[in-house]
Amino acid sequence: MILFFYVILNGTALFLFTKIKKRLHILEIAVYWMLASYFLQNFSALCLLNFKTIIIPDRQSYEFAGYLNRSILYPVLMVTYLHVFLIISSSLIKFFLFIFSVFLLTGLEWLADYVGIFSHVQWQIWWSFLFWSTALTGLMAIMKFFRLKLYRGERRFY
Amino acid sequence: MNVSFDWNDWFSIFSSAIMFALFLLIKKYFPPVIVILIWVFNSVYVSSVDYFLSVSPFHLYYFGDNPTFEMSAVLFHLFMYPCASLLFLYGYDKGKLDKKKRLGTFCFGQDLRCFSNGFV
Repeated sequence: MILFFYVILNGTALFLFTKIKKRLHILEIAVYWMLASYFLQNFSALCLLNFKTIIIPDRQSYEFAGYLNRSILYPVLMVTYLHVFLIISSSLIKFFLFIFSVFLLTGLEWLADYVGIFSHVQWQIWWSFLFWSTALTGLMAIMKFFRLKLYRGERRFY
Repeated sequence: MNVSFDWNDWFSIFSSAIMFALFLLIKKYFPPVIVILIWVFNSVYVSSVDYFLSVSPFHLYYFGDNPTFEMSAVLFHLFMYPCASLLFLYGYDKGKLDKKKRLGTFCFGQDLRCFSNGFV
């Protein structure tokens, strides 16, 4: 049931992402998606294997759901954030978008904890806010760097 | 967290350094955007498969000599495999490799070295 719910959730997020008219180049989407997934997987591995601050139950359906979230849901939301960030011109609205995205991603993370996909162990909630803030900020920095390389010689970049 | 330093860690450092040095010889062959794309794809692909097979959900093996997430794994994911792939692509593009003779040898050579050293 949990796996089914997350398959639907991931599929919906992916479907909606394909439908929006994006400001990002397809190569940018690929790079940012992969980097977001890589960052999430490594941090998850560190917390699971080294720091022991999360526990993943030994149930394959839950583990598959977690894998789908790390590979599809969180990266697609982070790339969508970048897309919307580029559309908005007002700095104030960009700031509120950033706050909303951090809360959304933190909420999804704690939803996963609530349904049992993984469990936080001695984890402070502000660590989640800090993690997602860092992840989004890092991705924005990567976007700035990659767009300079991709559009080198062109006048248009963010 | 694992902080012991043994042959596995030295192997990962040496392998990564050698592959990176070889990559520096051919780094100007591809445009920077292509290098970034291939590098990121390789890192993500390898780390995803490693995490999927070794940690969750299959638990088939562990990378290195203990179940923790070590710096040696990061070196392999970030340097060894992407550089090896770029070197392969360089040879494939420049030398028009014969698939039967060279493709399998190059692609599996890296993992055979790892297995022979007991790294995986």
